[in-house]
Amino acid sequence: MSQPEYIRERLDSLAKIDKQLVDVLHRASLTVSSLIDLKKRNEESKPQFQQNAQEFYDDLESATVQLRKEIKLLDENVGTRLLPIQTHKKATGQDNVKLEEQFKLLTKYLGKDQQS
Amino acid sequence: MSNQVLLDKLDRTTETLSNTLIHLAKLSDIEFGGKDTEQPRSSSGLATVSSSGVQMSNNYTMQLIKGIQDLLVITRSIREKWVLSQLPENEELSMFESEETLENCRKLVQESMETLLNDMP
Repeated sequence: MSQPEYIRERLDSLAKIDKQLVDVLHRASLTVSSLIDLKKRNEESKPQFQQNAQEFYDDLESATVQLRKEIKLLDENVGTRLLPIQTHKKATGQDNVKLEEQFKLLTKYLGKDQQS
Repeated sequence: MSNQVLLDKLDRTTETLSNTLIHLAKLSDIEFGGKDTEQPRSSSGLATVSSSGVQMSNNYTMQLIKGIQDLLVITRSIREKWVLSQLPENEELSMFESEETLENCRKLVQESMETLLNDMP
């Protein structure tokens, strides 16, 4: 289903965050395996371990900052692009239908043949 | 889930994730006996340390995976909100979105007010 551009941007950004989160897990696995190497008296693994640990925290920070931004955007768009409450989509035109009905009644009472 | 709940969950999970790696790193010290442990341990003592170490490292690994899973649930929840609760942008024009019909409505209200005022004793 095609989405409006802004929503597509949000969905792409969320997909990017998902990818980053999976990278965090992968980085954690690399960190632990390089640590095991290091503990086996393999000093060459030290820079590798440091790099993996650094990247784990970098990825985690970046993913959580992005996620926080997305939650903020969600909050900002409630009422403009998003429904403020959880309702069925079909119920959104309810007010207009009622208002149109009232104006038709008004036309009838005023005895005019008003075009709507 | 409300946005505040999402933020709280994000904060908690991030903290857990960053601590979990530290715990795993500390555990490796127990599992490998530490660099400065020169004297050999008794076989039963080693087995106890080893089994509890494996159990703890399993728990922390589980925590790490669960944490990432929780963050993925948050992104999914946000995605669902965007897709399912979006307000349509190209809605069919209702009578209140056209200037002409709005003007007619304004005139009608004005006329009705005048009629009401004239009918008043």
